[in-house]
Amino acid sequence: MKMQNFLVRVPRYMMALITVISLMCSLNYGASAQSGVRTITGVVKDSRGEVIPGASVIVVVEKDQPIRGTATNENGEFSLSVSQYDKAFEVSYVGLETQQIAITSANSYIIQMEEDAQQLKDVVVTGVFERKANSYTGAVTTVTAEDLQLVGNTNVLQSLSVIDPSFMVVENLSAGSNPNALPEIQMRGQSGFDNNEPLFILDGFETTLTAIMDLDMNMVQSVTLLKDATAKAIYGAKAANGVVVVETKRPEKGKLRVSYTGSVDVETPDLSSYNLTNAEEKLQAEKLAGFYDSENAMTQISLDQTYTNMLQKIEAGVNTDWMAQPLRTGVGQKHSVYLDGGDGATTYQANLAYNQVNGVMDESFRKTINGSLSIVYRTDKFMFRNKLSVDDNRTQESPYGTFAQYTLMNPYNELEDENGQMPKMYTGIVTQYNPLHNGTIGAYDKTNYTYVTNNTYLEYRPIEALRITAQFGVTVKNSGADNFKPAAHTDFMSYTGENLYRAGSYYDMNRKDNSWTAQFGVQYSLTKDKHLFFVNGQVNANQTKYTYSTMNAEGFPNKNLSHVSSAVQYAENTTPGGGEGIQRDFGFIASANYSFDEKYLFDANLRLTGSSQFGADNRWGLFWSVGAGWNIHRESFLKESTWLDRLKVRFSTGYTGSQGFNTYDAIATLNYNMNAQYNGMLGSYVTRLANPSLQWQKKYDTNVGVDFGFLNNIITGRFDWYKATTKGLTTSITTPGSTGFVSYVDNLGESENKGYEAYLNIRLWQQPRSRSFVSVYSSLASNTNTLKKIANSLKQQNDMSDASMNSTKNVNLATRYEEGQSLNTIWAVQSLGIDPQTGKELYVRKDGSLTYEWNAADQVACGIDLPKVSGNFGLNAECHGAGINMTFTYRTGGQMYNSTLVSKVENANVRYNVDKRVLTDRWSKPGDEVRFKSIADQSATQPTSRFVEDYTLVNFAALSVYYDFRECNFVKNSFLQKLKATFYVNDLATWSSVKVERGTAYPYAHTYSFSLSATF
Amino acid sequence: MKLVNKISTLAVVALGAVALSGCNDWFDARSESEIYAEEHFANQSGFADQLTGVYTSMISNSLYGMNSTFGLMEVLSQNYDLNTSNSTYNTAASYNYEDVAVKTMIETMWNKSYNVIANLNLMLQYIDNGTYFDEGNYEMYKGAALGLRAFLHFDLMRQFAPMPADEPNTLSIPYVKEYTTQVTPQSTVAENMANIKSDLKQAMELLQVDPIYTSTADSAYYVRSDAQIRFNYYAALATLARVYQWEGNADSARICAEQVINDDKFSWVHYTSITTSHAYERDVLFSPEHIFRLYYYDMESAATSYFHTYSGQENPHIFSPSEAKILDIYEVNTAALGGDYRNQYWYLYDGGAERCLAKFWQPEGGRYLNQMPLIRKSEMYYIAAEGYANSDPNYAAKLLNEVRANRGLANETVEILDTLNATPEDISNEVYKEMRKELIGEGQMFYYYKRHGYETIPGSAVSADRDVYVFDMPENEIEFGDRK
Repeated sequence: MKMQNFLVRVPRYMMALITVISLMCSLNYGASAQSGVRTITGVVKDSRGEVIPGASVIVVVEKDQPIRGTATNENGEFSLSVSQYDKAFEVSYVGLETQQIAITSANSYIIQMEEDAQQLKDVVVTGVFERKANSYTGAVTTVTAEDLQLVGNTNVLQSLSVIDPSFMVVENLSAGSNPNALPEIQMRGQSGFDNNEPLFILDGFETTLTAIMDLDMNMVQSVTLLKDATAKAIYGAKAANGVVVVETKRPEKGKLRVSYTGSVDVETPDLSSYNLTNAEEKLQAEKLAGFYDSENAMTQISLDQTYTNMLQKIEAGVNTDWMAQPLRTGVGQKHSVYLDGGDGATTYQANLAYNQVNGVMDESFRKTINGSLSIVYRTDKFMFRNKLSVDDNRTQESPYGTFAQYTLMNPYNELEDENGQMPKMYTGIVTQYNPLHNGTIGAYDKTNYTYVTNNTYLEYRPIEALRITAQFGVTVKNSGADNFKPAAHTDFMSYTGENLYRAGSYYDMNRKDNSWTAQFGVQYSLTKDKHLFFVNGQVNANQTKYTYSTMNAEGFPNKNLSHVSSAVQYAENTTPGGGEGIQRDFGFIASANYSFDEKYLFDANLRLTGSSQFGADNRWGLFWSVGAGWNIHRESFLKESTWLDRLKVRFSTGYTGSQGFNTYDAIATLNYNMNAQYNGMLGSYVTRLANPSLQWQKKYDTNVGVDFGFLNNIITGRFDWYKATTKGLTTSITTPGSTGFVSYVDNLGESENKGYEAYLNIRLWQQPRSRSFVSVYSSLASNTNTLKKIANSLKQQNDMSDASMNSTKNVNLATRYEEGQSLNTIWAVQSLGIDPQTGKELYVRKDGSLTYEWNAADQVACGIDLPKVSGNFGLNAECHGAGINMTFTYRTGGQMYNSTLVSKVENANVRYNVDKRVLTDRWSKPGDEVRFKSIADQSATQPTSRFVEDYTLVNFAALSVYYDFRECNFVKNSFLQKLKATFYVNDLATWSSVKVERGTAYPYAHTYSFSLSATF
Repeated sequence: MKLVNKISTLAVVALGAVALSGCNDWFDARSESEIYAEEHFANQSGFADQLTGVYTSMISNSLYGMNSTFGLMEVLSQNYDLNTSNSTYNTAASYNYEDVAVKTMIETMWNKSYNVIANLNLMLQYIDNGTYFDEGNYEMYKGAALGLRAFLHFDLMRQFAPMPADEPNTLSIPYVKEYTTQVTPQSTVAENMANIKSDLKQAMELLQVDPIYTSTADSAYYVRSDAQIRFNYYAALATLARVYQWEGNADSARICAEQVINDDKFSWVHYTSITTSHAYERDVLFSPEHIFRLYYYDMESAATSYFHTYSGQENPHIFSPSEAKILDIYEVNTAALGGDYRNQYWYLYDGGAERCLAKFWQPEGGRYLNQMPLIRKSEMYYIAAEGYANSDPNYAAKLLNEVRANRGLANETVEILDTLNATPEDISNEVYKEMRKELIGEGQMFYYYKRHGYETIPGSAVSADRDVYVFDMPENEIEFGDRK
């Protein structure tokens, strides 16, 4: 028996075992040779007849007996010595169904392996039950751990957004790559005015966006995005915005197996979108803006002197790169250790992960430690599983403040004065505090949380077809935030005289969340001839509770007295703040699925939810869906087809809900008026006009989809078209004052989302033996939303906003809603550009006439701040363990209001640093056909179509290069089961059709990561 | 298998049944930062606190803490010579209700009044749900709530509706009896008056347990100060007198007013309380005579803002008649009535050359603090006097003389109204002059002019037509309540 035969492709946990045991076996070989020992040989092939190297072949033995086995060689062959007592052996290979083969008198075996029916891609995990994908009619995207890790190792959300364009992280040009900014996520577009966040389910229990973001990616088994009514309906009143179901790894039996994944992550700032002036250009801009001109001859002399001094300074080389000052190359690291194992009945799993993300702003970081412990006890009919996990998270924002401050600093200001000290402020044409100073005084802005969850799962399977489950989950989360600024902070430089003692501030927040969930379910499946029935029933109850308190304190003379208790007093005119809430839900789920010959498929779901959040008149809501599917490829006339592997059409329709209001909007509550007493007593008052008939927002989804696979699954893909109407959008209703209140919340709005999604994957070349392949893929998602009906209050709000925009000369876009328009409409006045004769902007009134006067009432829909189409395309290739992935994401077809042109070019305050374009393309004399007003024209440019630009963006979102050492001898010959090195680059380059400053409060970053993972 | 099926079905059904039956309680998840109405009103203290809250709201600046009393309503009564520094009240004084700031002021009055009414309606919705009350409390709380609802609606009628005698069938304000998102339809003027009377009568029925009602005239002193700051039995009765008078039903008004007078629970202020040389002990507001007043926690700061001199300002106080007007109102030169306590003690020098209105000065440390009178005993005499003006002018004169006697006009040198040869015109004139003297700063004279249909309001050149006397409902009320 040759030891070299051992390859790494035996199920990983077996490897160490086998190595050791085989060694023992071979030592004992001589001794046992006499007792009826013989050698059997065989070859292992896949369904296409290709041989499988590295499949593990293990003799089935009693529990307490040592394991004996081998693995197939490169020709798929194995030889195994068996005794007369051995009854069978087991062949297994990743991705294929494990087979047990009886040992007969034959000495030679051919084993044909089948694709594992339980393979993840073929199973839909809904978080409530698992269903065979083949007979499911819902629109879902299943993403495996491998897929996620192929496009990045930052976090699950980031990877998902690269993989599936329908899972959209809303672009946040302000937050950039701040590791502590929570992304805003939408699935299949926006349907309500606020809160379009999907529901997150982790291992069957509802969780939060933060928990998913901070989840150790190495623990993830799969992520399923539930998109249409069939898929979502089981989550009823919470599901309208889509559901993200994350499953973590479950322990596998075998001897102790240890996996380690570690990475070094490097973030470098991406300032390519900035185009600020340097010292020389800045001075020139100031000169042109007339800051050095005066009518008064004496003043002029002094201004000339100042100008000359500045010029000399600049010529001497002063040109401070302010943007570089608060930035750094952030070097973070991740370590994750995972171990599992166990015998037949009891398996266990432990995980410890550390993740430190160091952002590009100095001293900003996000640090997470996750630990979890699982234990599974399993007998024939019974299973018990418990998982306890603890997450600890600390974050810190940069004490240097927001990045925007640095982009305003004048480049001719030096970092050190003549004494080598950092100035606290600069005077000149404007007084600017030095934001760098704040990084040196001990200020901090931190948050933290500790999140403990315990989930227990019990399953009883009296017969194969019936499964009775019970689950109970508890979570406790304690979180806090501390923001401390000592007296030296530039915020307090305006404090004088008797207010000086108040300098220094502290914001303190403490929050406690806890929740529990209990679920009881029954699943029954029945196969009779070609009929397959599946029924699922569930009862669940849950409660979530939170309470938090905040306080603002002031008066911190010394940075070393940084505890909130050192404050002089509460911040002026403040008292402790906070809030609390409690929500209880109770629900029933019934799902039924019928399929005939796996050809004709039917799904029906029903969910009844009762919630304390709904008004007393409408405690219960019934949500439902029906779906049908047709597996055309299983029809007899296509069954023999060699080119068609899969063709399934699906249809579903149904209705789910989403919350859009505060719990108390539905219930009359009272509070006490603490500001006024009446003869020494405090009086109560009713806080709002409660609407007891308030309901969830109702979303009616209809989805039509096709799944396909051609030419031995070389071409696979999916197409979905959908339309979703959200009725009863909760909005504030303006009431006549005689109701006692000016408004209440009601279900009055209506919106519609329409769109399609397409996914295509082409495997250009493959060689299963070496697991080599080249494939390309592309996907696109399109979504448009339209407001069908809005409440009177929103119409009134538009009028009020118009009036205030006219009077305040506000340059920012108005938030307006109009029926027939998108929720994301860009409202601006139609512009014909700068009139070459007058240098004034020429506007088009609503009636078509022309004017130089900007009027809010003339605002029209000038674009939509949402891509018409977004998607990705990329390449995936692997050859003998070496692989590469490149993914590009793009968006196109939408518009953007270029706010940089407004704030940093046309309306730029030239006293601060500005965009270089401030000097070019400006009107100066009649006849100039230019884009911008005269530099001397200081009037505010209010929303104009002149700055609405078509927005196309292509991002080189992910590049990963990896090498799996499975074919290297040093791995084959060691205790290592797996060793893989990966190099990731995220957000390497971005091409945008709109030249706008990206990452204003926090810059964007390129992320480079070197990751190593090993299993032994 | 069948058995298992049955068991599991049973389990689901049982769980479901338990859940559904217990659920409605379970869903009433309790909050710690807000109180559910059901819980609040499960205890009698909830009703007491709610009434306290109502009084607190009523004394806000948009209502009786300013605009319904010494602010807007008194400005419209034209008793002030406004200084020019406050443009809003100057605009209001010219009855320009279209002005944005004035409009907002009126809208806020409307909204706040109905907000208070909503608070009353919420407690009325719960008061008959079986909460335990100590003896008399149920009647006291419910009576006060109904009475206040009528009181507030009545003031809205006086502001936003035409005179009942002129246009009984005109649609006017909604009479709101429920806390609900449903918009209450408008009622006609006559219907509203009927609703107001009905609520007041029901209130009086209930308030018969009121200690101020059950006490004798002699012992009323012991319960009076407690009763005055809530809507007591006599507040309801006095409001009813006002209501009848507003309808033009002078006899019924007189009967109600006389009942208040005859029951004699509110004694005249003793002159020594006014004339005491210790300024801080002076009871300038005549507190024993208040049939209903609000406790005004912030009275001093309001007085400081509106009735006091600011150092360095030329024409400082915002709300005050000029010296000339004071002399005119109190007939100091025309009838030598300068001895009137109201002339002597309500107008003081405050650093300027002229006296200013000091009625509401209630400086800290004083004996009579935080008072905002809403209904006075003297007003009952005026109502009764108007009621007797035609039938028995001499008796009416007697009634007026009683008031004047208590205002320092009883001594021999001053001519007292002739109680033998009084004419209805005399009474009418004297009531007007008396009311102006007595109720200055309390926002009542506008209603007097409106009731008597003055074509111009004395002190203003603006022709006082319906547009002046009847405020328009706020735009939001018209638009979102579909009002006509």
